[in-house]
Parts: sequence; C-alpha cells; structure tokens
Amino acid sequence: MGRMKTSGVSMNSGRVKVKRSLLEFLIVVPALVFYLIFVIYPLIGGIYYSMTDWNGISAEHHMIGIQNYLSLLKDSHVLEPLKNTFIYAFFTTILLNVLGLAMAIGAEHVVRGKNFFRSLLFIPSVLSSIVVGYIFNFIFANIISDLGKALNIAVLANNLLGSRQWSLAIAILVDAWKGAGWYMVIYIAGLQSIDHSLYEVADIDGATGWQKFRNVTFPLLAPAFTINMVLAVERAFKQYDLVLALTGGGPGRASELVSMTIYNESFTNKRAGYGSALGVILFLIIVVITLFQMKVLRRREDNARD
Amino acid sequence: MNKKLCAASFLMACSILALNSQTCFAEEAAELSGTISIYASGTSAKGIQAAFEGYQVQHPDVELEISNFETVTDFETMMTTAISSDTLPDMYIAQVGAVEQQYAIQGYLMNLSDTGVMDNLVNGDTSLITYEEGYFAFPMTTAISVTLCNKAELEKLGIELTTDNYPTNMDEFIDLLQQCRDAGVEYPFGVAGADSSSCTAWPFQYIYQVLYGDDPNFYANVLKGEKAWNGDEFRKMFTDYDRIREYVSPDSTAKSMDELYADFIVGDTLFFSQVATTIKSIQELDPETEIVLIPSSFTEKSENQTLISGFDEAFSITTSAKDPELCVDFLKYITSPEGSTLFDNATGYIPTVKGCESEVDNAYEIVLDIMQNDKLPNSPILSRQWIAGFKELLKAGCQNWLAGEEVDSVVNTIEEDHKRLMEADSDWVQNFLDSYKWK
Amino acid sequence: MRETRKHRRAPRRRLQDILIMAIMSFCVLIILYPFFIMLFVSVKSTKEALISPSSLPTEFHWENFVIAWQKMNFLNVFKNSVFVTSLSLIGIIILSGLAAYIIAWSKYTRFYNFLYLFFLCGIMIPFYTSLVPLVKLMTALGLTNSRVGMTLYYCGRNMPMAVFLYTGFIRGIKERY
Repeated sequence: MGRMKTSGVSMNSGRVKVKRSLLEFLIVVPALVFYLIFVIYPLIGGIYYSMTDWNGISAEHHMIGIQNYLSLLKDSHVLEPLKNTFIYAFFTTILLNVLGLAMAIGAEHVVRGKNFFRSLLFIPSVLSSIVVGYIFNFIFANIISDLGKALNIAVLANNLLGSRQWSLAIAILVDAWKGAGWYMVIYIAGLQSIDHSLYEVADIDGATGWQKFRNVTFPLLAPAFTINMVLAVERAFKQYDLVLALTGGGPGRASELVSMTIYNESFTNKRAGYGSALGVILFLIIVVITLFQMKVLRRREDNARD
Repeated sequence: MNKKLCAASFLMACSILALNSQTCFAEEAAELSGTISIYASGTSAKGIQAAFEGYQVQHPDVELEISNFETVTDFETMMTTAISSDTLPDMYIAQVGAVEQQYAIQGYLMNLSDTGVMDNLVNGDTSLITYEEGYFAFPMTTAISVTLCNKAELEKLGIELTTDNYPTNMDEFIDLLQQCRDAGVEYPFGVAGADSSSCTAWPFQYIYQVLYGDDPNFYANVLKGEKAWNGDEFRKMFTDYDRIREYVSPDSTAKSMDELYADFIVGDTLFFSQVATTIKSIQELDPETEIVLIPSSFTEKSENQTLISGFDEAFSITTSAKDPELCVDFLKYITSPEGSTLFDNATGYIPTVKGCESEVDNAYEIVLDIMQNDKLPNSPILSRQWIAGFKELLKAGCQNWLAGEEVDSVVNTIEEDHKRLMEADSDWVQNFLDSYKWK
Repeated sequence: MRETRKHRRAPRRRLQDILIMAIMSFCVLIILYPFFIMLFVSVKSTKEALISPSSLPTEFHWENFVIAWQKMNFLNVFKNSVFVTSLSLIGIIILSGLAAYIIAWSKYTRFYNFLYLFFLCGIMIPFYTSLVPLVKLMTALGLTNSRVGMTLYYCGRNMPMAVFLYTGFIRGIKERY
C-alpha cells in the first residue's frame, strides 16, 4: 500500500482501481451466493420443469419445449383467476397504502403513547394467515350475519364469504386489515426522515394541514412510497395463504388467485410441468409490472428531491 | 420301566425343543431395531401410536417417526416432493385411490402379496389395493358413506330411527326432512359449502347409488364419450339435490366443517352426508352428542337402495424403506388381531382384520346390522379411481350451484373442465379404458 | 421550543390532539377486535367456542393453555424458532447490509444497478414454482430435517427483500448528505 502511494497515482491507478473494485465486489459476494443457491437455482429448476410434461408422480418426464406455455395462452380455465388476481392486486395496493399512511401519520401525531399505538397496530401483520382466516370466518358467519339480520340487510345476513360477488372484495378487505401495519412501519420511518424545519417553514407561510401534507409530506415520502407500492403489488400477486384460509378459492372459483391455480394444477390435477409454466409466467408478469412501477416512481423520487 | 423312560425322554426332548425355539424366537424378536418413518393423517396417527405401544413391548429397540398430514392432497404433495428428492418414508397410511395405484405402478411401493400380510384381510372389493403385480396396500378400515343423524335431537322431535324404519328412497327421505321441519327445525339438512369434502359428499353418494346403480360402467362411459357430465343423468342429480336444498340453510355456501358440526351438535341441523369416521371428530368436540348412521337413500325406488362402502385408509411400504423386514414385521403386528384391536379402538375405524375385537361405536348400530346380514348390496366408492382433480372441479361446480348459479351453466362448466383434464392426460384415459373390466 | 409552540396554539391544538387520539384508539379497537375474539375463544370450552365464539367467556378454561402447550411441545418449538430466527437474522442483516451499502455507494452504477434489479427479481418468485427443485436441492445438500438447514434457507430466501429495503434507505440517506 505504501509503495502504491509514493510511486505516483498515474502509473498504478489502474491496479488500484481494479483492486478496489474487486474488494467492493467481494463484499457483495456472500449475499449473492446465498441468493444464487437458495433462490435462483430453484427458479431455474422451476423453469426446467415448466418445459417438461412431468406429472409429479412418475420418475421420468420428457422435454416438450414451450408447449406448456402455448397451451396456457389458450387455456381460459387458467386465465380467469388471472383477472381476479389483477383486481386483487389493484385494490389491495391502494387500500394498504392509504391505510398504512393514515395510520402512520396518526401514530406520529398522537400526543402520548406513540410506541403503544405503533406496536398494537402492527400486531395483525404478524398473525398467521390461517388464524386470521379462521377468525374472520367466525366474524362473518356469526357477528356480521347477526348484524345483517338485525338491521335487515339481506346481503350481510348470510356469510359474505360465501357470496360469489363479494368473496373477493372481502378477501381484499381482510388483507388490508392484516397488512396495513407493515406498510405503516415503513411510512413511519419515511415520515421520521423528513426534516421538521420544513414543516415549520410551511407553518410560517400559513399552510393548512392538508396543504402541508400535499406539498411537504407526500413528496418527501417518495422513497417509502416506492418501496411500499412495489412490495404491495408483488405481495398481492403471490398471495396464497390468506385467501385460501378465508375462502378456499371462494364459492366455485370466484375468489381464486393465480397462486392457487398453480398449486391446484401442479399437485391436485397432477400436472407439475404445466403448473410450473404458469408459475414462470406469473413471475414474468410481476417482473414487468414491478420494473414499470420502479421507472415511474423513481422519476417521481428524483422530481421530489428537486 | 421302558415306557417310563421313553415318556421321560420324550418329555425332556419336547421341553428342550420348546425352550430352544422360545429362545430362538426371543432372540429374533429382540434383534429388530431401528426407526420407521411413517406418513399418516391425524386420526390414523393416533391408531398407529396406540398399536405401537403394544409393539414396543416385544420390540423395545424400535422407534417411530410419524409425519402428519391433514388432507389427501397434502399427502400427495408430500409424496411428490419426496419422490423427486428421493426421500420417501418407510411406510405410509393414506386413503387408497388412483394416485396411490400410480405409486405402485411406478415402482415406489413394495408388493405385499408375498409377505403373507394380506391373509388377515376380510373380504371386500380389492380393486383399489391391487395392481398388476399384486397387492400394494393393506386397508385398515372400511369407509362407509352415510347420512349422519343426531339421534337425541330427533328423539326430542318424536322421531326414532331403527333398523326397520330408516328411509329407503328419495321420497321417504324428503318426507323425513319435512317431518323435521313440521316439528320446528327449519333447516334439518346440513352442508358445509366451504369444505370440499362436505359439499361434494351428497353428490358423490348420489353418483354411487343412483348413477352407478343404473349404469355400472358410468365413468368408463364418460371417458369414452358416450355419457357426459352435462347429460340428463347428471342433470337429474341437481334436480334431486334441489329437493334437498329446500331444507338446507341459505348461509351454507361459506360454512366450514366446524360450523356444520356446531349446528349438528346444537340441533339446528339434524342430518348431513359424510363418511362414517366423522363421528369421531364430532365426539371430540362434544362427547355427549348421540349419533346414528343410516344408509344413503337417494334412489327413486326402495329396491335399488345400496350401502356405499369401500376400503379406505391403507398401509403401504415403500421400496425405499431402510429396513424392509422391520416394516413388514410391524405391518404384520398391526394387521394381527392384537394390533388391529389397539389400532381400531384408538381411531374408531370399522375393522378390516379377521379376528379383531375392537369396540364399534353405537352409532353404527343400523349400518353394521345391514353389513353383517347383507341386507343391502354394496356400492363401491369408485371416484378414487377417477382422473386426478375431479373432486376439485365437482366441488367448484357444487359451490357455484349452492351460491345460486343455474344448473345448465354448472353442468356445462363441469363437463368442460373434465374434458380439459382428459385432454391434458390422454395417456391416463387410454390406460383406464384399456385395463377397465366392463360389467 | 416545544413549550412555546404548544403554548402558542393551545386551544386548537388540544382539540386536534384529542380527535387524533380518539380516532387512533378506535382504529386500534377495530384492528385488534379479531384478536380479542381469539383471546376469548382461547379460554372457552370446545363446545362453547364452537357455538358462541364472540361472546365474553362464561367460564375460564385456563387448562386450554396447558393442553396446547403440551400438545404442541411449545418449549421445543419455541427454541427452534428462536434459533432459526436469530441466526438467520444476524446473517441477513450483516450480509445484505454490506451488499446494499456497496450497491448504493459504488461508483460502478450501471453494474450495481443491474445487480440491484437482479436481487429484486428474487422477491417476485411465487413459492410453489420453486418448491420441488428447492426440496431436491436441500436434499442434495443434506440440509433437510435440520435447523441449520432452515437457517441457511431463510438467509437465502430473505436476502433479496433485505437488499431491496436497505438499498432504498441507504440511497435515501445518500441523497441528503
């Protein structure tokens, strides 16, 4: 090291740069290795199976190329849940972010007991999905139905989770109930990173609460907003446990999501190759949507900073 | 004196022989050691553990490692991952069906024909436990698909079901339901719409009793294309189901099994269709509920009534077992009168082993009388031989129908989905038709 | 500073404070209501739990907890969870933190941006797509049926999410300073 310093930067700067960049990369390597082994390799395995006709039981299978994918595109049985999943993703993302942000602002502005509120509101997101599904089934079968009978609202009188029109909507609401705490935490972190002096400046200018929010809070929350939007969308597309516990796919297939279709095709219908192909397509959909989101939101972040 | 000497030496020889063979036996028995890994469902696991306690008395060096699963689909998922990663358990006990037959055909299961284990099995329809080479599974229970009735609550309404007066056809059953309604129970028939087993229970019973009653080759005909799910017979099922729906509570679409049990225990529901082993689950929740089982009664005419039953949970040994002799020995124990008594007492299963002396619940009173006196012919539980995934699509169809969809669109969807499955695995269809024995 | 602020806007502020407190408390009640039900059911007898789950319990069956504890072998299960969670957490935080720092700060932005997106893809993989290959892999590595195996798997599985979050925040700090 001493030698490099005194012999002039120009002669050995190339080697210094290479050494430093190698060192940099070395620091990333352990994380990369774990990732490659436990995430990427199984994904490649999944892609491999998607190009075979394996049925999940036999010891052998044959490569059939992209045949699974071609059949998928023509298969309306599989495309139906895709529609449900898009609806689910759209509404849960909005609800989760709105609720999360509202709770974050509320939790930040209570005079007393910030920690108390924060922790309590976060609890639902750590409950297991099966328990949540069970509890909400109780609630809708007994409490809300009693309410419906008392107030004479026919829709509520029978378990809403059993109605073909409402099962998906209820699943969205329950997901929002459960997940909002998680997003609240991220928004709180984002809120806390906003410089208070900006609020004071706004106050001096005589801004109202809403104006403060629109012009100071929301723009500066952009990084947290990006994170939450991306996570909400990809979580919604991967959602399986909660909806399964709540409705099992809804009456018939009214609330079936793509992830459940993948499971059914792979294990129940004994078409593991086909199910894998659907999984890969789902993955690609999520990638496309996320990249698009990142582009749009990144630009927003840059704008907000200025 | 000679005689005495002879007798004495004879006795001596005998006792030496006896002692010898006893020590031999004891040595052999004590030699068995190791761990057996088993996949089992919740109820069967209890039975295994109870029987194992008896087994451990003779073989203290053997250990058991049980992996639980809830439903047949969970089991099949576990098996799929085990097959692909070569980590099959030594044994398993699960419901037999076409999928398990596939495991045998693919070579994952031991052929039990030469082990002598099968000698203890009572008579019954063995089509689901055999494959080309022989037997691959020993069933520990006969599943009976029945109508469960809340005996105590019915008696409160003045209705008593005995071996002579249970309903024998559809009209009589509807009359019974109407009687209950007149006596004050608005919705006497229960369906748990959210549970795939419960909401397809009645349709399957109808299929076995009525559709197969009229055409013993029903499913083969469907596969051939001569019959269809949107044909008249199956449509008629929904028409008949409609008559029952009259007596089913409108909030059944999202009802879970637990809620159905709750209704049944309290008396809001008096009847529901399921397999007989359900009584164990109900008794766990409320030991005081009195249940009686009656055979399904959904045929048009009394003379066509049948009792629906078939071999159910069965033991298999895999070819990956580390110590096959140990597994066979354990299986022999469980399928002996002693072992099976312990097993069936813990699970409440109807015994399938000759000489088993387990207690059978009172609820089986009527049904056991029918079985032992051959009062009704048997309808086998055939859907286990059908194409994988059929139950799921029937469940979706029934749920849609319960939730209010039109019969036409329901049966058309079932037909489409079934065709889809057939097209995806035409090899399976061909195989089924080639090896099918036409009646 | 704070005191003068409060003093200056006391009357309107106090009403706002009370309102916010009320709304938040209401929020907490709604959010935790199902949780309360869970608590009620946990002390009821099985029959009562089935029949009227949401009412206040009439008798308190504290033995339910004892039975549950024993049946699920809680001590052992908890020990396993603590082991797996704490070790994988340490691994994740250290490794992903380092990786995220490099990704956010390195001058080779194009390469590391690509790496960032590469990590991002890991979040988007649906679980059942990779289930079977994963089991095969774990068996081949001899990591099945072991706590160490679970720990390593969790490390790997959560790495992309951790890298994603850390990078986001480090970039945020970086912008400001």
